[in-house]
Amino acid sequence: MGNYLVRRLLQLLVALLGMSVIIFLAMRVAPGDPAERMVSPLATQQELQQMREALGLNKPIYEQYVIFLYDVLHGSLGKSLFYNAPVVTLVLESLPATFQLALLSMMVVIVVGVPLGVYSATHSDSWPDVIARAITYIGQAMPSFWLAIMLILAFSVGLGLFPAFGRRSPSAFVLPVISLALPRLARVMRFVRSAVLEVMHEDYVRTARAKGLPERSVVYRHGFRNALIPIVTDTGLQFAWLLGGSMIVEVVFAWPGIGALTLNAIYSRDYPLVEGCVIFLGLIFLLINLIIDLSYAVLDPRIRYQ
Amino acid sequence: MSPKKTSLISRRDFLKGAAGVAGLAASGTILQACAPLASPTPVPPQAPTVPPIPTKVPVPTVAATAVLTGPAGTLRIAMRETLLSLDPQKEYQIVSLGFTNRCFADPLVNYDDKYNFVPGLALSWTAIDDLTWEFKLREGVKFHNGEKFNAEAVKYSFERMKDPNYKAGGASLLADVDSVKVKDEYTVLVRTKEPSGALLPNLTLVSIVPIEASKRDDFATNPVGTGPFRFVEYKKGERLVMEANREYWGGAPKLKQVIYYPIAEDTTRMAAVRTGEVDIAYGILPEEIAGLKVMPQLEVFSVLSNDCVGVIAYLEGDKPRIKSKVRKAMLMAIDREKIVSKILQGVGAVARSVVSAALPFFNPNLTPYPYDPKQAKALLTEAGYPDGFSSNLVVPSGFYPKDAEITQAVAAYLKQIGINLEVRLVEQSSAWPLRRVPYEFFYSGGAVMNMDGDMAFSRDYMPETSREKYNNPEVTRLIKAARASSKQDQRRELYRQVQAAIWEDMPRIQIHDVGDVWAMSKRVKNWQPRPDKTIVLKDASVEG
Repeated sequence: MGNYLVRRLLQLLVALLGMSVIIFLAMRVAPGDPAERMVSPLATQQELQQMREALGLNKPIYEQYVIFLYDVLHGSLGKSLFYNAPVVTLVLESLPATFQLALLSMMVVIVVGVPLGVYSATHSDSWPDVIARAITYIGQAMPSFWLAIMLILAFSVGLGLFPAFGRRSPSAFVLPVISLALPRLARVMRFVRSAVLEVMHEDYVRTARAKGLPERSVVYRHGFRNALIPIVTDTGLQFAWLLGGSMIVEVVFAWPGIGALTLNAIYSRDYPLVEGCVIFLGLIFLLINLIIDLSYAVLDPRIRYQ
Repeated sequence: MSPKKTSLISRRDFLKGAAGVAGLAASGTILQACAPLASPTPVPPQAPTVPPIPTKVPVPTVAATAVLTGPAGTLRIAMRETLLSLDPQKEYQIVSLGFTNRCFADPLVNYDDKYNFVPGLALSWTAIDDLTWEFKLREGVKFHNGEKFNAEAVKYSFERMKDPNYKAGGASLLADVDSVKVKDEYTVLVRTKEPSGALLPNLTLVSIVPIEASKRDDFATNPVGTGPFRFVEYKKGERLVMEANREYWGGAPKLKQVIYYPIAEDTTRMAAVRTGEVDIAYGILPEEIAGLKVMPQLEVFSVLSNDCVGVIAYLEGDKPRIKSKVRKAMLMAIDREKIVSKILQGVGAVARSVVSAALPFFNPNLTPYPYDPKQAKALLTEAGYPDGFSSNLVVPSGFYPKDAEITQAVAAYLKQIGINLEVRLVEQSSAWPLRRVPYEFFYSGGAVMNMDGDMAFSRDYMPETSREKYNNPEVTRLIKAARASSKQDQRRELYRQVQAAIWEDMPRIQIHDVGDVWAMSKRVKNWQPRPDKTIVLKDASVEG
């Protein structure tokens, strides 16, 4: 286990390094010039050039990468071109807002999605199952931003129940959490349904029934538990997705999280900030993956990590 | 069998334990999440100090009550822009130049509602000779932190903004300034490199900052100025809170608190003003106007801005676009009235010159080019292109209102006289650099932030700096003459002549003056939107 963990952490470092190269190059290859956004329209070509020099954008690309790597290894991740502050500070400031949304959304997804999925599986092809499946298809097909705007128009403008933006009160969490949770809830429910359906035909489930165990116990202790590995894997990845993929929802609700920060940074070509955000989100994603893998050994004792 | 059994138990125990830990962790997070939300609006650090009411109370009039109670109420504003740095000298973006800088800080020279110069931190200014301006400064003004405002602070502020290492977005506003001399405590001499009529208008955008506070690292997040409002709190991406500066040199503002919310999404901003979560929202979409106008608690303003947008032709290369007749044919082939009334739903106006009609030097007497496809076709034939030609148009996506719809309409109109214009919507950051290299046509305008002709013309209509390679010796001469003059009336007259000359060349196929739509709650009193988008709140107040 110890060896395995060390090996995985080393792999994680390699993955991060690879990611840093890709995001670094992707930003440089993408057209657009951050200096152009920083100077006034009055500025001449010469002043633009001065700004590029001041930002270090005139240096050869490998030199820029070495500077970037130096900043990464020193933990500062460089300085944002636009906010004029260390990237690491900006990212850490914006993480709590995103975590709050992601955790609340995940709780909604699990508390509602998992039991619904199990019910759908054990009562497959009953009318509640058919309705639930129809809803999940719609839920998955709805883009988050569209859903978010519809929720604002219906519940803020129409009914006046919840704030339209910001996070000034607990009720301000309701609409963004629904916008984030609904599409994922649909997915998790479908996933749980198919995973449970699969194991319900296994021999051990039949044996459990033959033993005369109550149906509830058959479903949850023998069926659902054996279906847990794919469910945990998918749900874990959904959580990682919630952390990194809440950009649009954050922008719609003017939510001060890392998603909105990243998107703004991309629009303004704030190279160090985009790189920092991506590396942070990548790190979180890799860590969640690692935790999922480690949880297998707990969920299924046959799995051992050497 | 037995090992499996033990492992089963431990697995169950683990799951229970894990569930418990997860539950605890989650509830902890929710508690944390809710904690800062207990007080939704931040309480100002000190309670409002109500001046003692005199024992013999006179019959209270409205004005007297205001004087007695001092600043009151909170005004909330939503705009599209995220705030980057709060340092009043750093940014060159609408929300900084037009709003936050003006809350925290003051310029030396300011504009009144008619865009005539009025004293800011300078009481008066005189041109001593062609190159030297003398500014007499206001005495007894203090920065929010107690630092003294004087000639040293002005000299320091100018030099700070000009310093290339400081990377001020608006450094070019001071490009003409050669040196700043302190004559005495309250007099500065500003020397320009050449006679500069643009100095004063440029100075309306230059904030004066305190020497000590601005050297601190946290100045960008904790700004200090002389302005009517002082900084209270800033949560990045969430809100900026300011409170009345009771010692303001121009008299205490009527509002106690001002909160700025950056809301990037247009629909959300519109929703926020409808629900009453904000009092003023900028950037309302034309299609939302009708829905907002029926709401009794709201007022909707549609005002002309300082920007005029059109199809800009790159004027070098052996292409049809370099011929003036071709560009005039293109203009006459486009039904601009219809574009403004149908696509823009009446927001903005048909362009009647090369600059917006909201500018104080606008020339209203130019002969319009009517919508006339027949004459357009004839002009095109005369220019030697009876069968038309093919070209393309770069559009910085989302920068100008309804840009996709308008440029598609333009392409459809041009098709009728045989011109095939391929419309290329390009993401903004990628689009702007394309304006600095040869292109065919580019959909753009230029906001004249300081409302002055020099900013409007000296870059794109002078041969050395023109991005579209415009070169007309008469225009160059007029722009130079206006630049050398320090008499504002004379300068504005020269800029009217500049417009007449450019209007004959038609280097840009001007479509429309850009309109700004603002929605405002009726609880806001004494405030109106301005063409330059500056939000001056010193005299504004709120009811209830």
